[in-house]
Amino acid sequence: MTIPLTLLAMLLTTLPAQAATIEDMVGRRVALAHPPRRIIALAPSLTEIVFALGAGDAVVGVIDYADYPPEAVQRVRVGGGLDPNLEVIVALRPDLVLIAADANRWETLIQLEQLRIPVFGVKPVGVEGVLASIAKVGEAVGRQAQAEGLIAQMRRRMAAVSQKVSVLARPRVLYVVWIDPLIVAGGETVIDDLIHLAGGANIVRTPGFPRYSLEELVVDPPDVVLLALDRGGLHHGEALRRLPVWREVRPVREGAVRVIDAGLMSRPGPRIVDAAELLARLLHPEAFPGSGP
Amino acid sequence: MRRRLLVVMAVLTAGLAAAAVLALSVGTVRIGWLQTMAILGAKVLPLPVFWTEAQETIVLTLRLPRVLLAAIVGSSLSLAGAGFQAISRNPLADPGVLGVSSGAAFGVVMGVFTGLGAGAGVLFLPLFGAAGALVAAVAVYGIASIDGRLPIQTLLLAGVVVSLFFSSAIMVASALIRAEELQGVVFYLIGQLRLADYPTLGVVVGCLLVGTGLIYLQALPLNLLAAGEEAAAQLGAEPERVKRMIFVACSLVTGAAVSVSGSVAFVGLIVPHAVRLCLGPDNRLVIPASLLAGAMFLVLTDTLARTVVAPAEIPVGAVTSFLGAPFFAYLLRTRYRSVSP
Repeated sequence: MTIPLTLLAMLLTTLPAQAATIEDMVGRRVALAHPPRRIIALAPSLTEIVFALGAGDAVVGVIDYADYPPEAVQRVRVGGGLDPNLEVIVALRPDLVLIAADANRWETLIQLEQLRIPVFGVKPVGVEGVLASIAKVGEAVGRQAQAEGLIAQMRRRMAAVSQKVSVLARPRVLYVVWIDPLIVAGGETVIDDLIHLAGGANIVRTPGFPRYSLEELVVDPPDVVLLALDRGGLHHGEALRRLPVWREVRPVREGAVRVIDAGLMSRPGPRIVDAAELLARLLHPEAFPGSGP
Repeated sequence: MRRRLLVVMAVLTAGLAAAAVLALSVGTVRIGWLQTMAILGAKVLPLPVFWTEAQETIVLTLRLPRVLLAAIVGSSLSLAGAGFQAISRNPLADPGVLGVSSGAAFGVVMGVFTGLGAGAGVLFLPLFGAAGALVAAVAVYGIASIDGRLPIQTLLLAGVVVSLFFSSAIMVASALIRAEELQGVVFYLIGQLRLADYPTLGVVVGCLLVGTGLIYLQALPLNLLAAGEEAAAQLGAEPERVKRMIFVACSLVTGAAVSVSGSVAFVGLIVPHAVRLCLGPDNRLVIPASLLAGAMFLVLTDTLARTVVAPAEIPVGAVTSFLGAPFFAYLLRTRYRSVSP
């Protein structure tokens, strides 16, 4: 039974698909089968975008930690974002590999090019960058209309959030990505945009994800500490209260630490609107009566 | 002698070929060894195709350059080990133990750091590596030599000192490097064989050939040197000139290897040792045999590194250290217990 199925699959993939040449977000022109039938997404955010656009059936491979939507978990795992297994990728015979500047290495893109696999690069910078990358992925997988609909819906929801919190005082926020060494979210990141959207003010202006000094934290404490943890470790939020220095810091002492799902916050995909709504509730519970975080 | 050399080389070449076929046929994706041989053979013979295009790409584009790289790096490190052991008359010398690999790694990091390696990276990084290796080798020699001799204790300690110095220099340099470049450096330093392009392989092979030539020319003088420097001088060898030549050659070879693989420890220690154990101490035999045996050793250990935790990988340097460290301990316990300080 497996042999005829394999044959059928081979037949389908060798049928001449229409070709299209599309410019990606890292300045390359990519010739693609249109629509692609065998897609590999090298970042969890890319997997989420493709599924949200309704092209999930064409996804044949995902990265190890792609855990959303649930259907994605059943796809072949092609390794980690920084060291994907090229053998597995080649064996999947993809006609489109989606790669992200924030989650993958440039070297991987070069290697895939050398293997003559069509690679499409996405570079989401800030919330607008996420919307632009959804539009671009929509173009690459032949789902422009769905992408436009999704983007419009995301814009509506984000506008609703910012309207609700716009008149409220902005708490000063420190977003902790890693505790030791202390790494935080700085400016020019999606997280920075989301904090602003949700009515907070990120106290870190250094772009990217810089190290942060504990001394600065003590001298100039934020009003709220947002602690990003993996979904499996969300209950470890209490840990900060037991750490030296940390337990002395005002927001930690006064219980102004909020734990948040790192996967939800750090993935530049469709769920950033969920993240914005959740953040707004955490920062301004008074504006969302009865719903609780 | 000549006949023995031919037999040894023939046996080792066959072993290396078998190791290569094994390495090419195992990996995350299963490809039979018969298929693998046929995919290779089809390049020169008209064979019926009984494999998929994906399998061919995996064997020829993904695995073959990596296997070649493993073979070349293994050869280079073993040759350097054999060379360092011959001139120091000390069987525990090897590029890693002596800190020469750390020096080479520092040279490469400086090449990346200053950006000088970026323009003509293919050519320059091996040379940066070789320069770093040479500085480290000279430093170790300077620290360890007592009246022109290199006693085991001072040599090992000098190696530790030089190695730690360059490791910390690398840490300082990586703290100054921008985050995006740092990622590359970290990947580089863990001692992992990556997908190398053919021009890079060519440069490393070039360095290996030059180094092999320089060292093999000195094989006979090295044999004389083993009997002591005075004796060697009486028999017409010039100990200092021979030593300098070998130092330069071993540094060149180590630097080039480290520039493509990071520090892969203990290869230069294990391989020449095993070779001498089987074939005796004659450098005319040990040097060429170490080349082939080193290639075979690293091809096999890299295959292990690629497969034991597949689909993930462990760095090959971790595998060689895992095997090499106990071997080193064994040598220390069995051979050097009676050496007085």
